[in-house]
Amino acid sequence: MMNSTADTTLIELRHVFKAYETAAGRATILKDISLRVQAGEFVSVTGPSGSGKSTLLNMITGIDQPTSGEVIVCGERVHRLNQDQLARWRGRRVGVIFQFFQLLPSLTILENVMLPMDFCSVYRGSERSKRAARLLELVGIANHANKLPGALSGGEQQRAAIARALANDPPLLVADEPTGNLDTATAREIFALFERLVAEGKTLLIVTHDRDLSARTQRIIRLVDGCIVAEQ
Amino acid sequence: MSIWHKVWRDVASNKIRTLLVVLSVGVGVFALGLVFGLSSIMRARMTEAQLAVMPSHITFWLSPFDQDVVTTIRKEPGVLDAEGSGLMTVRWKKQGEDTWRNGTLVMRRSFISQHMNLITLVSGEWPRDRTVGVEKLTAQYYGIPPGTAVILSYGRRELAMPVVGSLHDSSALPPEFGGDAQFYCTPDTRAWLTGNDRFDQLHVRIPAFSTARAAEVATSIQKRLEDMNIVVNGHLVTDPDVHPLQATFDTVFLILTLLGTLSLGLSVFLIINTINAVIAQQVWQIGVMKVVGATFWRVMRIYLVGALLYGLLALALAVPLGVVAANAVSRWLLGLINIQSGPSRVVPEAIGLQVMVGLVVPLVAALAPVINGARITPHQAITSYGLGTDFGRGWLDGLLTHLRGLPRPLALSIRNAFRRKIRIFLTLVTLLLGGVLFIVVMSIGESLSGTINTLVHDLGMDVIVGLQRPYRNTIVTPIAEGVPGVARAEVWDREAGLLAVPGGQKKQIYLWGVPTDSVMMTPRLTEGRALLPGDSPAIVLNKKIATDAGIHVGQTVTITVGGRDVGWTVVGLMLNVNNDQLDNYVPFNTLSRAVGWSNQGSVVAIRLDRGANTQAVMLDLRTALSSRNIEVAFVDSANDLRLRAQSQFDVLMSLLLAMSFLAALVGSFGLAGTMSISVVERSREIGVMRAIGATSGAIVRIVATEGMLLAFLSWLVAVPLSLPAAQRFSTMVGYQLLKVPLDFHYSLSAVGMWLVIVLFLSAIASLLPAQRASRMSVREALAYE
Repeated sequence: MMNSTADTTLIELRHVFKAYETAAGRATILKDISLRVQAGEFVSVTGPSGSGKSTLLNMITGIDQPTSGEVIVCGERVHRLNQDQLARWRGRRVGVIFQFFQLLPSLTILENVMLPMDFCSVYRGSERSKRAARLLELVGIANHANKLPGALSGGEQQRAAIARALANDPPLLVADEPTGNLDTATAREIFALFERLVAEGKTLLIVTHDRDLSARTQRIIRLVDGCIVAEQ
Repeated sequence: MSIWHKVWRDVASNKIRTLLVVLSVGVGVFALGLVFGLSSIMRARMTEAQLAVMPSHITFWLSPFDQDVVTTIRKEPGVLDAEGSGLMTVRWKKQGEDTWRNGTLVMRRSFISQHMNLITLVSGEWPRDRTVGVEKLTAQYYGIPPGTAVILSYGRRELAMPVVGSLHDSSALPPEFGGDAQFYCTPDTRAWLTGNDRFDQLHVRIPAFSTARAAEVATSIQKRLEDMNIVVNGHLVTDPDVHPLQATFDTVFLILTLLGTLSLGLSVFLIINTINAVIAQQVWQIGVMKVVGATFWRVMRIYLVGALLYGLLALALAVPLGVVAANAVSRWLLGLINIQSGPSRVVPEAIGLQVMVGLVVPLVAALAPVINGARITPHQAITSYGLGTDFGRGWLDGLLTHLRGLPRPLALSIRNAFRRKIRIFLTLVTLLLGGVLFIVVMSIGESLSGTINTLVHDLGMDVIVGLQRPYRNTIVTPIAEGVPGVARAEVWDREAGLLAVPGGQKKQIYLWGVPTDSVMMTPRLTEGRALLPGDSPAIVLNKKIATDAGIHVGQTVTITVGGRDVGWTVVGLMLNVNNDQLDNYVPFNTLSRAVGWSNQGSVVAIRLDRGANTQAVMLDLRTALSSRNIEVAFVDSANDLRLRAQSQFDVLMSLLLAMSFLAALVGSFGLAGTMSISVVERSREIGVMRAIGATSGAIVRIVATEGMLLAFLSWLVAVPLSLPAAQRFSTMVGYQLLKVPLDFHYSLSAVGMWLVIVLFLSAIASLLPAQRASRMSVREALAYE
């Protein structure tokens, strides 16, 4: 349930801790994280390696669960959902974009984009192919629709991954180092695409090492040793 | 050294994978141990049992004779010892019951001082006057132990006989195999029941057995008997060192050995698949080892030792199980053929073979994947983070990519099934071989049944009545045809004869004297014609006899029957597998004249009215004939003969089905292994699918569909392959068991059954990997190395 005092809050973390038990003892990755992201914001999360950026993203997408605290995303208390509920929720409400694209190699680009629609049944079967084709056009690779991922360049694959993330029209897009595997020019093109999506009303949260790119976001959250040390 | 810790931990850490590999090797090694151990134990016990009973070397079936004849024959040159016995068919029932059954009454002059074909006392006492002993298996099967009583009937006489002892007679055909109940009595008891205490079988032992010497002595004894006016109905020479069923079991073991070897071959495929997968999962480890100094040969040694470890674990499982199974199955089989199994045995040769195979096979199977893995460079090993691009090369991938319009999860299942082509090929081979084997075995079963039906059809009659001695056909036929339900009765005769073959030898054959206007004689002619009215010394010869002796249609052959040489013109050749293919047809009148009984026969062939109650007619026939003082030896139906013949092959079919089940199991292990490997390799892909909305159910469906698709493909390929395989196997089994090819029936029902079985097995084999896939933590699945 959404907090009545933050009607446009899309993401809210309240005193989130995340710790792992390892052979070397208990390791606390996130320490008392509290933050809010409003709908339509373009937020970047930065910080040195091991600061907990990816873990923070995993909390928000439900890929991982907090040790304590609350995670409320798109009005849902994510930390209380079971795995199947999380999968369904994620498919409809969150588009995930990975650093290494993670397109399924045995499906064509068009089929990769249609896959989340098949899992979540938001769109009727007869609509899915057309919607997927429109999304590929949106990201500028409509002419590669019937190719396998292996036949595309890194930048084209990332565009396809973005199209897949948009498949069920989720309000929130989350990207972990989306340009980490791309050259500078391609990274800039991808970032321009992100800016367009935000302008169209999406909320976008990215993890990035690239300072130039993070400077283009509306808000930068800096994590060090599992704590938010700065927000600008 | 730390590196051997790695080898051990690699094996111990992934228990399911290790279990699959160990089971894969273990099944094949177990199968070999079972078959070799079983055949060794059986052969040894059967020979021991055979020697222990001191079997006769020659057995004669004669007209009734007394002890004086035995005494005379004992003095014949070349004879070490002789003994007489009597064997007759009686009817019997348990006291208080109404159901009569056929039984055999064995008469011995003395049970206490037996000379050969020894019968042992299991419990109670030896039969004495007006009592009977019962064979041990008969007692168990019918529930008539010592202390009970049975009613024996012969002709119109019915007498209650106490059962005083349980005996073990290894020559008795077990009831489970269709044998009649077997009773034992003294001459006085038999005379009390039948009025006749004379022998009809003569058993002879010679000093130093050889088949040639026994045949010589048999010929001279036969002449001596004929000089004494004893009619010789036939004789049999038996190798005392070889159990009568040895040849049958040798055939069974040959077939089982082939199947066991096949199972082992399937195991090889599975090991290749699994070692390939192990290497694939350890690519980055191999890269790291090479970075820190491991050479190609060092890497080879590491993984070959791992393969050897799998072999050792498989041996630890398969060797003791093989010993236990070989002893258990031999105990069962020996019990079926009435041989004491004795203490459990360990067969060193079988264990030696298992050890060799269990160690060598994993090493050989692992060689190719290990060599490929050892060639991996550090660069190849450490540059792999995404989901890979192992799909899209080759015409098959292109074809599958062009399958449009499929739901994406189904497209995933279909295309994923073919991503690792060598692995899939090996998995398909194991599955389809299991399918081929199952269909072949079932086809052999149907072919055996079909052939048995043909055997029974070749008899040409619905019911056969055996008489104690020849009777005139003009008397017997109207009596039989007067019984309600009898459509037609014909009096036939059956005599033994000696056929002169090239080289001066004589071969024992059997002549069925059949009315030339018979409606029941329907020989399967291969050349010439059947008997016709007016034929006199004509013969329709068995094709096998003709082929072996080089006899053709139109030739005249000399057959000694009734003590005289008679010339017979071969008018036709027929295919007839009864009685070891020794049966031949001649005109009834001609045969009866040759043996000196004019128009008399000792067999009544009966054709029933459609819908007649066979059992009721059989009872009525016996009653009708007995009431007219015609002594009936036995009444049997074609269906009973069919069931008895069928039951003898049931053991073989059980063993064959067990082996095909083992092969199916190996195929299932293969599929389970392949699906497990596939799931592990695609962990990240599964994590991505979970991240974009796939529920556990969706993941399970994708993985399970992939497994069942492979199973279906294997079925599609197995079906056309099984037809020629079934034909070849059927021919082989037929020649081994019956000396003729089986009437081949391809089992379409087995085709349908295998589809259901393989889909079911594949669903089970895919379920565990599918569930593991669905339970994967998304975070762990997406974690980068």
